[in-house]
Amino acid sequence: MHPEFSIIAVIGVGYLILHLLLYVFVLRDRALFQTEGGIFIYHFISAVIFTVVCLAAAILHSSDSTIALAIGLIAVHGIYSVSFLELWSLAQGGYSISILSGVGSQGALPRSTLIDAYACIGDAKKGDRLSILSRSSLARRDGDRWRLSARGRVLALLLNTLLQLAAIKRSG
Amino acid sequence: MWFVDALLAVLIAVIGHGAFCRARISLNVVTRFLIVGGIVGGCLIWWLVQHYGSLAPQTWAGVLVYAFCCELYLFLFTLAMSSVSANLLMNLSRRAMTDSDIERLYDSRQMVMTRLDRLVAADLLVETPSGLQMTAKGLRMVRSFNYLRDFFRHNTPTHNRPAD
Repeated sequence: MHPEFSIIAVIGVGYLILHLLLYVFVLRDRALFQTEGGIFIYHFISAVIFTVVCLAAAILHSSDSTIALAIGLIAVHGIYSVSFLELWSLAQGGYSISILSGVGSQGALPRSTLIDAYACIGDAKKGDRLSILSRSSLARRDGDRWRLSARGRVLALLLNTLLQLAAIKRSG
Repeated sequence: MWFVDALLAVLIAVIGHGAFCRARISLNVVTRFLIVGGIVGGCLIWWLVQHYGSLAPQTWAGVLVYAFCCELYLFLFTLAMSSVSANLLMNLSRRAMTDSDIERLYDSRQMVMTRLDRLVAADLLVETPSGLQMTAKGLRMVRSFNYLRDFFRHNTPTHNRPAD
């Protein structure tokens, strides 16, 4: 590999390390970066700027190798951001993790006790989900029924396609 | 061409995963993709190294694009599979639903029972005479989850403990 390419690759990866260290040592204790929106924007803006800079540099040099280097670095940012956001969401605690943590803290519990206790959490989550779908303009109330918006239908089609591809019959 | 090769490899991995998921083998859907994706990825690496060389930017870029697309696919289908909100969205795409339809479909008790069954199937909980108990594997998962929660400064969920 051309030495110049190695330097560019190191700079690109170095930027991502700095991006992570900035979050770890400065930003993660701030309220904005403890919200889903805030952390998504932090990664999204970084990805957009990184992509623009990489592609601009590649176009200026205009060879297959420089374009490959730029796209490779963009893919590294993609892997870093998707991995980070997945871990961030996982750490928020889904329904199953909440149940598991609850059993862990309480010791052995009869199935019926667990069902009674966590069913009420499920009721609260139901209302949250519908309001999130509504606020995201994915669904709306039409009289006494909930319907999907055009955007919601597109997203539902994508999700259905993914499940059919992987032959997953049951979800949720 | 390396970019097209990478995208083609992703397409082959996705189609291969779909075929593998239809086989009657006792492996979960994520493991199936890791196997298929790994094999296709290995072939892609071999192909790119043959054409561009092991140190060429095109080889690395092709592999990284493939890895990113695979990770995105994995994330999206696990989201579609496990997210109740995604499931609600898919049900609403089939028909408009009233509040009581949603109430019946997403009966909270049934959802908890389903999750308990999954946790037992995944060897995170075990049935004992005194009830459901966490296994060592479940304990490791909870510890990892607590570490991640502290790292990301998430507040302790108020619903982590059953109501008294």
